[in-house]
Amino acid sequence: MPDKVKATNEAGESVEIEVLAAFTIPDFSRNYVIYSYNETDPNGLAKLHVSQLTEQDGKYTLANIETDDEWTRIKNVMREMITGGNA
Amino acid sequence: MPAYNYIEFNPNIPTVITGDKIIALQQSGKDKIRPGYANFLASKSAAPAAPASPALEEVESLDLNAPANVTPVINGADFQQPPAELDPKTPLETAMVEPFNVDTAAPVQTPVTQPPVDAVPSVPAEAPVVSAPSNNQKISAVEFVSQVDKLVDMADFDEASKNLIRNHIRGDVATASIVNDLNTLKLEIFDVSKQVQTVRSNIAPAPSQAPQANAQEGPTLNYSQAA
Repeated sequence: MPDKVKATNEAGESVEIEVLAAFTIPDFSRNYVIYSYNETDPNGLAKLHVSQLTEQDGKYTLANIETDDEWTRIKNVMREMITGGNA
Repeated sequence: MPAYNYIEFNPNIPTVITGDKIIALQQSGKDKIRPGYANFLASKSAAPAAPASPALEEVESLDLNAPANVTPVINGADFQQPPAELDPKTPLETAMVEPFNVDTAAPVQTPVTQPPVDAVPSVPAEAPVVSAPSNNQKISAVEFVSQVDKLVDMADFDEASKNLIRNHIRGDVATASIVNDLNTLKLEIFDVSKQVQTVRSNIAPAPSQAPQANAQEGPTLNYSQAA
């Protein structure tokens, strides 16, 4: 797993992200990626970004999470990762 | 079916970011999401801390204590103090509503609609309360004027005289030089009424005079002349 990845944001700017995990949720048949800009929020917590990961024509696209249900499932996965489970 | 499976992310594939969700997490949680990330963090420990987000944006925090099947919708304070429970013995300040103070001793003043009268001076809002000694009851200036109007209406006056009295009374009320006894006022009004009737009788036309000859009847025949 690479520490840093070069990516392009919506503004066309090149940004550097840290990919923490990439996973799939079989129920949704979709892939997701957890990454960070190495930022902290005002409370000192690490800010993590989560996007839907698609690969097409030799290019990754990190897109927004579409539904609340999907986002809830992703957070549950994150909890399992943190607590060490891998159902 | 497993809840999730790790997949490989190829750093050599061009990546475009079009959208994301943001969530806040403790650094230790970040370390656990990526196995072996602790070493990476340790290597960065000497580096200056990452700048915080300039805006105080609300970032959802991942509540590790939440059941997996429950949707946590918590902002910011997940890893901080839980919200203090309300002490049921302590009354809420918002419940301390001052009761509406109804002074039952105060007379209820009913607005009185006055008939339009030309050139009638208005009664000032701060007009004094009139005392009626007959029943030891205080009335407002508005009610006083209303009583006057009723008395005047009952009197046998023509409309011009009524208006004259109304103007006079209202003018007195406006200048606070008012008659403070309604009974006296009533007597005065009827006394005026009698005077008016007397004046009317004095200027009444004289007893009916003999009707003049009808011009259309033509000359009277004098029988003596005819004879």
